[in-house]
Amino acid sequence: MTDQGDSGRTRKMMEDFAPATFEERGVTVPFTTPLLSQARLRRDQNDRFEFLLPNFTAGKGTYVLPWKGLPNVMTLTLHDRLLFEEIEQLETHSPEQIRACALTVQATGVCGPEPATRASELRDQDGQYLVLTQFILVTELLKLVNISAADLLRPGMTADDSKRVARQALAKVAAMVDIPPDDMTTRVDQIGEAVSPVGLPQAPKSGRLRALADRLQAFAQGTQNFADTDPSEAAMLGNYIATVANHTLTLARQRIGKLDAACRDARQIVNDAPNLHRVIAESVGRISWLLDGWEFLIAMWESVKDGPSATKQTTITDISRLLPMIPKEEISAATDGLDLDAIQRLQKKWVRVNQDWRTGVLDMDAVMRLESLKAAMG
Amino acid sequence: MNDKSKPGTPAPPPGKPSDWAALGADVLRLPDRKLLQIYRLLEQVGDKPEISDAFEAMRPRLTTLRPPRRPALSRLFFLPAEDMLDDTLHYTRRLNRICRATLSPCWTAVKEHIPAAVQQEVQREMAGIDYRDGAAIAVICEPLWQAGVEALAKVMAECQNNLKYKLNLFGRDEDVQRQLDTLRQILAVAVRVEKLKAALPPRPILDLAESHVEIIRNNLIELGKEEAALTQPLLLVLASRMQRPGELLRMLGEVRLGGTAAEKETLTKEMSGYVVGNLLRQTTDFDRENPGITGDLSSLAAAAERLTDGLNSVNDTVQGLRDKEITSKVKNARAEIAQFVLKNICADVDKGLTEALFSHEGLPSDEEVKKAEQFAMALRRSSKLAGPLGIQREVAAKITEARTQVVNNTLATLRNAPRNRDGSMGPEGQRQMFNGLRMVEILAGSDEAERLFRDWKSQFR
Repeated sequence: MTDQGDSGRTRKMMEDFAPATFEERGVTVPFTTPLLSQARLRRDQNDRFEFLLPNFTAGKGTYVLPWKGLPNVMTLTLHDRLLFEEIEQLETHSPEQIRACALTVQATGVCGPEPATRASELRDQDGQYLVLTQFILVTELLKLVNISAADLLRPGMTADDSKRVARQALAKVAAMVDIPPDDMTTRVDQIGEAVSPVGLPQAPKSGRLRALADRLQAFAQGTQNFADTDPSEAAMLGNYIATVANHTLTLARQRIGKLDAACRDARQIVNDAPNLHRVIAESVGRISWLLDGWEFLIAMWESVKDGPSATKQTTITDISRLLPMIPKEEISAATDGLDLDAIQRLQKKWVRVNQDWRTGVLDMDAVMRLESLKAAMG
Repeated sequence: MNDKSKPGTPAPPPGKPSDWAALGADVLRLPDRKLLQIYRLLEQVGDKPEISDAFEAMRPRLTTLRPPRRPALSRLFFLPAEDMLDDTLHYTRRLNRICRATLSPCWTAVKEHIPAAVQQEVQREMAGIDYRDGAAIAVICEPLWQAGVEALAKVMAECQNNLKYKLNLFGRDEDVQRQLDTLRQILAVAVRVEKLKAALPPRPILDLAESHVEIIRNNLIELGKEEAALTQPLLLVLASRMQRPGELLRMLGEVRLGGTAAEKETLTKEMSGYVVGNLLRQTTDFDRENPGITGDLSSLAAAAERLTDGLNSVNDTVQGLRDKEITSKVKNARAEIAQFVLKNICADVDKGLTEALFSHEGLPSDEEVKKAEQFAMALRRSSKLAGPLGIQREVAAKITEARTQVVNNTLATLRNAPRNRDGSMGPEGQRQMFNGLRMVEILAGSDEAERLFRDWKSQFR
């Protein structure tokens, strides 16, 4: 009966660790105030904003604070004040929307020149990828009327000729379901926008979230390797991180597989665009929720992976506190083998003695370390 | 030097020792990658005293580049004492420190007394491990260090009995005997030292986690049970690795070490003397190493911050000692750092900042903004130190001056920046505004930056 008792306790611990839904977990906001770093935003029962602060108590639980209470407790960077203003304007708060907001603020230069340059690059990349995705969708549609990409790019054709042929072909596609050609273009635009964060499987380059899943895999391997070779107690936390990362990765890959399958047949754009759009939006939304928060942790690990072992041990402990736990609705048996009790004990033990938030004065060095991670994020 | 040079076939050795120093100086002009290639080649030449001239010349760059070191046997032998080593120019006597110049003759003498089998075995085993793995090195080198303790005792005894032997090796300096003794004491607890180093954050140790404090405490207690005197070498190494060594002194006060109360008191007094002396030594080096420097102000300010932090951490202990000499030395050290901060960091920092941000047509580059940030950070660090160093008035005035210049220059830029068609602030103006706000945030805090943001936003819409 001991076994059952243990697994019962593990489940109990897991309940302490894991939120019920993604909404309850909240969306990660890339603040630069050190105590707010990786804070999660959600709505309370009265629909007001509240933040879950994993860094506030450094391992002794997650603190929940209303936004209004924050300025009384700590000094916020100008970046964070402006970011929150942007967030307040949003109607819904998905990871994709928060990311767009964060890049807008970051691009102003309020958190330094390198993050600003990086934000502009990322926004450009997003724009280019959207064009690429929409182009692929168009070529898939043209195949339905037996026109290939090569037909648009025959020798001697000008760009205008290509566009004209494409427009005529799309009109033919539209005629199949008896809708105006412009409506077909709008469908392509909308579906392209919805799928672009993950991208289409046949694209020559992976979309942002698909690439993030690949990086998460490398991260899981790196942290597992750390766990296998590090002689300190932090090895156990490395194992915990790798387990949660692998679990997340499995779920994300399943979702990506389903999305790819949904996008396989271009005829759906013609026959049932609203349904396809809904399926895509739901899948992409789920994938972005699953991967929310990992980008920052990957950047944290990347910044120390060639450093001395003591630095890696401390970073592993910090990462373990910030892990985006998979909500119970998604949880499988993957974490059952972990001694979560021991993990919590270890996290508390690695708290830095001198870390003092009570002074309320901003530690600009810590702020700048966070900003440099922003500049390194993909 | 040719890129394709095979490892193990270094350039023909220059004739005189001064040639080696010259080679070291020449190498400094090379880019990092080339310098590291030459460093690796020189390492393979082996432990020749004249080559140390070349390493000496290259040391400033090597300290920044930190190349992984091939673990020569001599280096492994001295590894537990590496934090106690000073260059010849910076060596301070009677402080339990060890001069690098002592190492080469010391190794020549001790290796004669260490069994060849031990030396070979250590070298053989080292080939199989990652030499950044401190804990593994500790296990492999234990026999070497144990043999080293005995070998050092023999060398010291021989020095006592045979003047010619001593003169040949170390010259007339009596201080060398004391250095050898410090080394011997550290080697006696070498395994523990290395394991501890591997378990703690890299130097300078800034923050200790609760688990780190526990590890240190356990080590002190275990050693104290064996023999209270054995804790001293461990404490010496540890104190040299910490930014706030005063914390270690406090920890020492709380730990029951075994032995008598008088022994503990002597140990505390000696350790306090070392910690204070070592900080003073660094303060003197600090000024000497950076005469009239204009380079990276932020890292200079960080160094000043580190030393002031260290001095603050020993305040209680120094007061407890009631030793007028040490008290006055600490006071002088503070005055020296204060002067350094005012002269080298605060003097022209506002001009540097303004030049980096505003002296160009159009927007400054990312590098220029970062340079301006560094200036602002240097001032911010100085303001943190101003209280303990007694220079609040001067630093506050400088910050006000720098802030006023940033605000005035940003305003001037915003007035002249091209507007959008609807009259709102154009992208260039926006970027300049945020560059200025960022400097104000670093210098005067986020509230002031926000106030200006609202103000400018409404003025320039």
